[in-house]
Order: sequence, then structure tokens, then C-alpha cells
Amino acid sequence: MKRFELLEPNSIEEACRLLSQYGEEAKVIAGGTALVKLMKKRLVHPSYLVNMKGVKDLGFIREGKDRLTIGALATLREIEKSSLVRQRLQVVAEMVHTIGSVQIRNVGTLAGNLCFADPASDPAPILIALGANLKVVSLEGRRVLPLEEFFTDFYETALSRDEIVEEIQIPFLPRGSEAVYLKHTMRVAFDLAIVGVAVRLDMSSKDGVCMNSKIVLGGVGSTPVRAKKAEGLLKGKVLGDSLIPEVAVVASTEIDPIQDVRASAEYRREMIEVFVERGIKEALDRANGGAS
Amino acid sequence: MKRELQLKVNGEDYTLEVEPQRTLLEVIRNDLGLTGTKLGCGGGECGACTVMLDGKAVKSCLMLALDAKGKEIWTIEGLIRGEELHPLQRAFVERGAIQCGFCTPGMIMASKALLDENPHPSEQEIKDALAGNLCRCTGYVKILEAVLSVARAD
Amino acid sequence: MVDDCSAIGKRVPRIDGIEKATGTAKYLGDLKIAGMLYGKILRSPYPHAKILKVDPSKAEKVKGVRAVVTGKDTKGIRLCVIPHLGNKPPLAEDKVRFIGDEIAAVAADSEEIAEEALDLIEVEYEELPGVFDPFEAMKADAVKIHEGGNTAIHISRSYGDVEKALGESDHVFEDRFETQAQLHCCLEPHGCIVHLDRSGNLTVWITTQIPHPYRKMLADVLRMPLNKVRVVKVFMGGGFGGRFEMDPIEIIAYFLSKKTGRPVRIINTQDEQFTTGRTRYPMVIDIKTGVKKDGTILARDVKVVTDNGAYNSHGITITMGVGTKCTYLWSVPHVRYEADVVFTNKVYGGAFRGYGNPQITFAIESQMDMISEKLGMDVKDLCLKNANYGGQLTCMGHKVTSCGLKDCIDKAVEAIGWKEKRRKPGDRGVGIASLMHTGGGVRLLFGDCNLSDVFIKMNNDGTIDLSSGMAEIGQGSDTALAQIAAEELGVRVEDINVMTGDTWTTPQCLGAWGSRELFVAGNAVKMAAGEIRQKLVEEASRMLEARADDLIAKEQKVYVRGNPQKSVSIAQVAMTCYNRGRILAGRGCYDDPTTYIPDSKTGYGGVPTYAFGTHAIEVEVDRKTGEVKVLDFVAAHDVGKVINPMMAEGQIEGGGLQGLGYALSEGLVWEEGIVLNPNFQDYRIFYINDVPRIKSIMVESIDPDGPYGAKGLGEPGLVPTAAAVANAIYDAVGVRIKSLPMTPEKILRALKEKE
Repeated sequence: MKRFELLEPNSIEEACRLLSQYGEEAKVIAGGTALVKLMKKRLVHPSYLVNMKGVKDLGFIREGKDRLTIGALATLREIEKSSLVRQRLQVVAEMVHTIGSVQIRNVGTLAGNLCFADPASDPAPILIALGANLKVVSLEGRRVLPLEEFFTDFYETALSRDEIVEEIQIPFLPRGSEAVYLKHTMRVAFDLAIVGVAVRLDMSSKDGVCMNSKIVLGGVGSTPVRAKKAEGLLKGKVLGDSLIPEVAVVASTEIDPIQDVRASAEYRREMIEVFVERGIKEALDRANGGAS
Repeated sequence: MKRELQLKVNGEDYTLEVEPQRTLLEVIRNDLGLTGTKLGCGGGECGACTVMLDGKAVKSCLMLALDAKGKEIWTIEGLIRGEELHPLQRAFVERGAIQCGFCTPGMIMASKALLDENPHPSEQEIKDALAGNLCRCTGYVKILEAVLSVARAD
Repeated sequence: MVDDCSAIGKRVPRIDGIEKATGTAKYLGDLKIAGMLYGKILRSPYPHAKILKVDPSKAEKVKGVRAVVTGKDTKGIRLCVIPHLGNKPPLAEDKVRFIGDEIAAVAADSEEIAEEALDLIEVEYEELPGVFDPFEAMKADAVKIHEGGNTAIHISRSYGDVEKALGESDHVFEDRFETQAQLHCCLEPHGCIVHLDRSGNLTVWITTQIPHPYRKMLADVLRMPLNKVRVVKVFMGGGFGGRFEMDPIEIIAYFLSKKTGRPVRIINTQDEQFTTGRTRYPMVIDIKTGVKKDGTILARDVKVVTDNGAYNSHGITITMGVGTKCTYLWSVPHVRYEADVVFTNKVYGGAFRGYGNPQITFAIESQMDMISEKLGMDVKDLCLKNANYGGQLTCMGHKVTSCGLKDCIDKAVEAIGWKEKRRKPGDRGVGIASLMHTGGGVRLLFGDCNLSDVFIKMNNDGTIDLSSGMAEIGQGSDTALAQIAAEELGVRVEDINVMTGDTWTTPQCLGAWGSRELFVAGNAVKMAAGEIRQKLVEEASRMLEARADDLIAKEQKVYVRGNPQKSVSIAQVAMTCYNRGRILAGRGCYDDPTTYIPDSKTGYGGVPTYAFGTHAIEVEVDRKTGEVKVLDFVAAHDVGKVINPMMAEGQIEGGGLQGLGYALSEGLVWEEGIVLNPNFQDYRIFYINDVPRIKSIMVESIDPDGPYGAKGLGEPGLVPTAAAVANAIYDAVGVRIKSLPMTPEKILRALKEKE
């Protein structure tokens, strides 16, 4: 790796100041698994690394009235094993389990994963479906930003130059709502998703009607994408056996998927259809109290 | 510019002078001469660089050495007690889980991290713990059997 | 005698296991030689270009840089494992021919400094159009990669009368199969430390499978006398055929060492391994087979186009070998074989476990499955009808001695549950494929010999020093040889010190390839140990006042047959010999008994014995995603005699998994000569969660010439796997995939086309 200076702020505000001071030449490092890899491949060469790990009290996983808040330095492994997460937002623990390997999860952070903004990021689709927000800090103060608006392009986010993520807020699912994350890969573990599908259904308790839904597709575009037309077709309907496949077909037409060495655009399109169908069925199954 | 780094490796305290861009793997191998931990891919994909950091398995090739300050690290060299092999080491040797041996230190350390946290894991739990460690020689069959044999022992 | 063994057939843990499990085994990157410098190589960013100028002057001025070399320094040298085919300069002279081609190199006090300096070497290129497909490269108007044209060789062989036989066939099957570039993916990247000292002695520490032939290659290329050249094979993190030749980095390191007088280390990064390391040769195989309606195979007409890559390596010999394999497994009386080995502007291939056999077996065994379906026969019966048996000659004149093929087929088929699972509705299916492969090396590459020379001495306390020029590359050969010596001499495996890999202290051996070490070196060990046993027994007969013929050496003593109390310990005998000035040393030099030199028609020499096997695989196919799950994998292998069951299983399990990767997911992907998947993330080799348990079945056919009846197992483990998977997929969902790897995308596309 090329030489750099390692800066160790004690507070998140100090970190923002350093980012502002050094501008283009500085990058934030948390767990470092993604950044160090890029630096070793000489794809990025920051002269300054702002090391967040010295900032205290950012590793929390807390329960609020209606949501979970996860600090920027909470590792993926801590989230995966947290009894709070497993009980209140099981789908998040399940999703985190599919990321990388234990060694990576022991060090990598959820905030880091989101800020890296890999188009195939696993947390992004499901957290968007859950309506997650990010609280970010800058020299101007704090703001809360919906995760759905966070990703702007391949590896790019809506963070301004001196902004740093402080916490991730994930609302609990209300009664009657369920969410699943399905990841299609070639190998069982370790792979990035060829297609990652998050489906959230908000079901009415009275008549089995789907009041609302979110279908979020990862790994198929430069950022996660909502299949809004497909969502529209589910709204207000009973999710019968003939509707679900139709909705899946519509979802697969809502985006021109990317093509890369892992899969062709055509295959990704076909997989969107397959996994949206499977995702809706599984979420419905869970909502009806079926085995998860 | 070099910075002071204090860390504990295999039970011994060290104070080193290290530049920020050096990885933990480089420092372990070159500064401390502990070459049991291997450089395989350098990109966190093969697991040959796995060590234990405060009890957790990590890929040392992706960790800045300075981030290990104040931490307790265990490498493969730290497992043997005098002349007594660790049960995992003995199991790997006796059950044919070693061929070229390059993946072995990483596999054993990842397995040890698992058994320290969960002394009697299931077969799937072992596979999940080793999911980030590559082996090209053995087909993993005997590696799994070796770790299972230790997991099932009292 | 064989059933009553102390060491043979036992699950002996490998003798270097503890070193490896404790992290004390030193691999190349772990070595620190005093004064060592670090080398880095500047590689071409273009797939095809003229080199107009190379200016290293700025790099030479960097503090800590000790030497820079370019094509001027290595001028005139051409590398290839077959010397007269050599066309690879260690550093480019006038042209570069693939992305990654070596152009210049720096030796410096650290890798960091060397890398910095590389950036300062100025190179002027004139880009040329590149050609990346062998069929394109064969066209008359294709850009020329080498002066002699783009076809490295055209091979044409014919046996019997193929046209007539095809005419007499009731059915003729014509199919095209395509295979991909598979990488060895050794966890340890390739590297070397080279030191030419000021007395003119050359020492090369290296990961090589062939220490002695490699020493000769070095001496020839560098024009040095052999006694000044020492090759030290260190612990190796994998081989699989990837270290079965000289690589440019060693010659480059030599010239850097020559300039500086210091040892120079060059180790590839994994990125360099993925983009510039040897690969299995991709092939396009057109196979035409004529059969009678009762299943008798009459003729086989095979055309192969091998993508040689940018330079010569093993491509020609492998392609010649593929020709012999057209009549290996199943007896085919009339064969015609045409092949072209063609240059392209991509990385060049090399040897890889199986040496061409995985490619042709994929074609042959897939087609056999297709033939059986058309004829309404069970493929197992079709195979058994045409199988070569012991004592037969193939139409190319190769003699089959021990042959356990029928047992392999029967046992594999039974273990997989053939009757219950074959041709059943649903998404699951079973398939089989068999193999025939060299079981003891071949007279091919290193002159008219296939030999191993072994020295053994018994120390005065009864322990043993065994010296052999073999190469332990992880397969366990050191341990197996120790077992053979222990059995012969009546001592324990731990009493034997095995010294291999250093050409200074070991006698000649051709090394680890062609699944030869156990057979050839094992026999040599038996011979050498036999000499010692004879002397031991003679001395013991004097000590015990018994006839030498009545004495047995076993369990660390020599005793009278039928009267084991009348005994003396081997240690005592050894000490007595020592005190009487009788040296207990033995030498065994074994050259395999095949008597013919490389056949002028096939280009291949005799093979002392053949290994056989059958893989039976059960899969489940997800019809919506095309994904294949391997539910069961049975590998039945004829190994002659199992010397160490634990290590034999290891070869089968490891080979089988490489075979599954070859079948389902591995393969370099190029675009305009650029490798698109140069890392473990996107070049998909399997991790622990992806793999089924592989059940090994050992069939012991007891070879008449192998040590204790053993024959080789290093390569067979992956030869038939891809075909077995393809046949299982067809059984499951009715689609025939003829190109590797059989990715979900390909399977899904085929399923959709079928609808």
C-alpha cells in the first residue's frame, strides 16, 4: 500500500473536521475490510485515513420504542449474534449471516458496508424495505436521511464531503408485516449476490389483503432499485397463486439489469422474476405464521 | 512516519515501531518472525492469514497493524504447549486433514476461534465458521472430520 | 505377505504433518536468506504490441534499487519445457504477446521500493491487433503472433480404416464439446529465490515438482555445468502440475542476482497468478463415433483445436496425449486424430492434473451416455461391452496390465443407487463416467527413461536415512515411501528420515507428474531397502545361528520364522554390522519396464501401468435458476494396492472437488485478452459450504509391476468428474450441456430452448 497518515479523532465531530480539512485526500476507515483491499489493489490512494475506531460509544445496538438503532461501529458479527436483533428483526440477522465470512464480519461494520455502496450490498435492499434511516453528522450538525435516498451510483452515496454516518435506524415491523431477503449466488457462502431481493409485505389482519409492499432489488443496477410497478400490483389485493407470478414478471421488466463477469443481464432479469416470486411467497408464508 | 505499536502476541508483549500502511499480517511475519500465518491472496479471500484477535478470527491481511494496538493476538505458533499439540493440531495430523499445509494454520485458527466460543458445534456451524477459508488440496472432507472429532470429544 | 503388513495399507499420518500443523514448515515466502533482495516484474498492459523502447534509467536511480534488467540482458534465451519448442523469452525483446508478458524487472531492498521503481521504467509500445480465438487465429488473414505462424503444430494420426468403419456403423454420432481454461489456484503463489554467488555457484530455492529435470533445464538455458547448479525444493503450497516447468521469473531472478551478486526473491502476487499463471488448455473437441446397434464401438474420428495461448509450454505434448486417449478407455479398433495447437494473445497454458485427459474424457464419456440412450442400452452395459481388460493392447499398441475398471463401474453404480435413481421423473438424476490414465508416469518428456534412483542407509542404531530426488508436493509421497521402506526393513515409519527435494543431496528422479512417484520411486525404494535387508539378515543369521532363508525382519527385530523368541533387535544387528565394518547401505534404481521409446506416430512412449476409475454423481437441478446441487458423489478408483488409505482418500476427495469446479463453476473469462475474473471472488473455486462428502471406494487390482501392487493416484481424481456431472444433469432435466463450465446460466438457457 502507498504511505498515508493515520488520523485518530476522539469524537465524530472531530472526524468531520478532519474530513473537511483534508478534502479529497482523506477517507474514513472503520472496519477497513473493503477499504484496505482497494488500497492494496491501488484503486484508491488516500493520503489520510480518518480512523473511526477511536471514537467511543459508537458500537451500540439499542432498542427504541419503535425501532432498532445500530451505531456506526457495530460489527456485522455483533449484529448477527445480537439477541435483540434476532428477536425483534430476525430478517436482519439472517441477512447479515450471508455476508462474506466470519472473519470479515468480525471486523466489518454495517455502516461501512452501506457507505461502500457496492451495488450487490446485502444490507441495502432489506434495510430499504424496512424503511431504515441513517443519522449522519457534519460540521453543520446532524440530519436524518432515508436509506432509500442514500445510494446515488456505483460506490457512491449522498454523503457530502465532511459527512459521517453515526447510526442506522431500523423501524420494527408492525404486526401483520413480514420481510424476507433472498440472495442468489453461485456458491453457498462468500459470493456477492447476482441478484438480491428484499420483499416486505404489510398484510391486513382482517381479510388477508396486502395493504402495502416494498420490493427492493440489489445487485442488478448501479444502486438498489424498488420495483414500484410490481408493488402497485400487490396493493389492496389478496395474494393468490396466479397474481404472484404476474407481479414477479412485472418486477423483472422494471429495470435493465447490469451485465458483468458474474452474470449476463438476461440471466439477472430471469432471476429477478424467480426470486421476487419466491420472496413474496416466503414473506406471505411468514405473515401467515408459517415456518420460517 | 513510524508509530509505536504495543500488542500481545501468543502471550508475549511487544512494543514495535510501525508505519501506518503496514498490515497486521506483514508485521506478524516480518517484524515478529512468526511465519506460520501465511500470505495467500492478500485480499481477504483465501483465509490463509487468519489469526485470533481478542478471541475473534480475523483476516490479518486486511487489518492495519496499528489497529491491533492493545489487543491480544494468537497465531498458529501459540497453540502448542511445550511439546503438547493442541487437540485441533493433533486431529488435523491424525485424520489426514493436511496435504500441502498452506491453508492449515488459517483453518486451525478459524476452528479454534469457533471452539473457544462454541465447544460443541454442529457440522453446519463448523462449515459456517470455515466458510471463508480456502483449501485446494483436500476437498475439505477430512478438515471437517478433524474439527468434528474435536467438537464431539468431551 | 501383503495382508500381513505393518506399514503398507495403514492410515499412517503424514510425516511432515506436525511441522505443517504448528506453522514451523517453511515455505518460500518464509525464508530469509542473508542479503536477499526483492524483485518485481513489469508486465505488458497490451495483449499484442511491438516494443519500441525500454528505458530503465529513472528506475535505476531510485534509492534502494540494486539492479534493473530488460530483454537486452536475457537476449537470445527461449524457454519451454520441451527445449526445441522454446519461444518464450524471459523478458520481451521485440514484442509482447499477452497482457502480463514480462518486459523488465527490478531488484531492490524491499518490495515497496521495487514497485515504486517499476512505475518509473519507460516503455514505448506500438499496439498491434490481437487475436483471441484459435479459430480466428487459424484464418489466413489473421495477425501473426509468431514468425512461424499461429499454428504451433498440426497433428495427424490414423489407425486402421476409419472411413470404412464409419461406413459399416449402424449409427454415427457427431458432437462438439468445449472446455475452458482452469487455473490451478494453488493457495501459495509461485515464487523463487535465486542466488548466483561470486564463485559461480547457482542456488535456486523454488516451488517445483521436478527438482532434477529442473536443474538440468537451468543448466542448459544458462549454459552452466550441472555441478554448479543446486535446486532446493522447499515446502510447497500446492502443485497440481502448475510447477512442472521453468517459469520466466526464475531466469529473471537469475539475471538480477548476476548483476548484484545477491540472492533475489520474486514471488507472484495472487493477481499475477490469476493473470499470468499457467492454465489447463481450453479445447474444442469434435468427436465422431461409429457404433453397431449392439453397442460395439467401431470407429472414432476426433478433431481437436487447442488454444495454446501466447507461447509454447506443454500444449503440444498434451494435445498429442489427447490423441492416445481417444482409444484409452473403450476399445476402439479404428481411430483417426487430427489436432491443431494454435497461438492466441492470451496467457499460455501448462500442465494441470490430468494432462489433457479431463478434456477428452468429458467429450468421450458425455457422448457414451448419449450413444447409450439412442441405442436403448444402459450406459453401464455399453461401457462394459467395450471396456479394455487386463492383458489387452489398444489399437495404438498400449498394453493394459492390471485393470480394475469393471469393479469400479459395478461398485460406483451400486453405491450411488443407480437402479433406484436412474431415469426417474423429477429434478434429480444420476450419471457416471469412467477414466483411464497413466498410473506410473510415461516416457515422454525427459528422454527415453522414466526412472527414479534412491539411496538408503541404515544408521548404527537401526534408524534410516532415505534419499530420493522425488518431490513431495503435498500429495504425501514422502510418507508413502517411508511406509514402503519401513515395511521392507521391518522398522517403524518414524524411524525413517526422508530426504527429498535438494539436488545436492539426492540422486536422480524425474519428479512428481504423471502420477508416477509412488510407482517408480516406490519400486526404487523397495530395491534399495531390499539390499539392506539382505545384509541385515545375513548378519542376523550369523548372530542367531540360523539360516538366512528362515529369517524375517519385522516389528524392529529379526526373528526365525515360526520361532519368534529366537530374535535379535534390528538396532543390535545394525550396531554389530557397524562394529564389524559392514556398511548397511542400499541403492535402487528403477526404470519402468516398458520398452518402447516415444512412438513416432503418437509421440507418446510406453506407460508402465494404467489407473482406472468411475465417478457416479447424483444431482438436483433447480429448473428455475439452473443451479445444480451435487447430492452424492461416489468415486471408485483402481489404485492397484492402497499404500496409505487416508492419503489415497485425500487424493480422491481433493481431485474430485477440483473436478466439480471444472464441471460447474471454474474458468478464466477473457475480453479482448483481459482477464475479467482475476481473484477468488469471481473465479469460482469451491469453499467448504459448497461441497458434498465424496465417498471413496478403492479397488485393488494389484499391479504386477507396482510396489506391493500399487499404482498412481495423483491425477485420476478429477478426470471423469465433469462428464459424470453432465450425464447426471441430463438424467435429471433432459438437457445436454457440451461446454464447460456448466453454469446455471447455460443450464437455464438450455432448459428454455427445450421448452
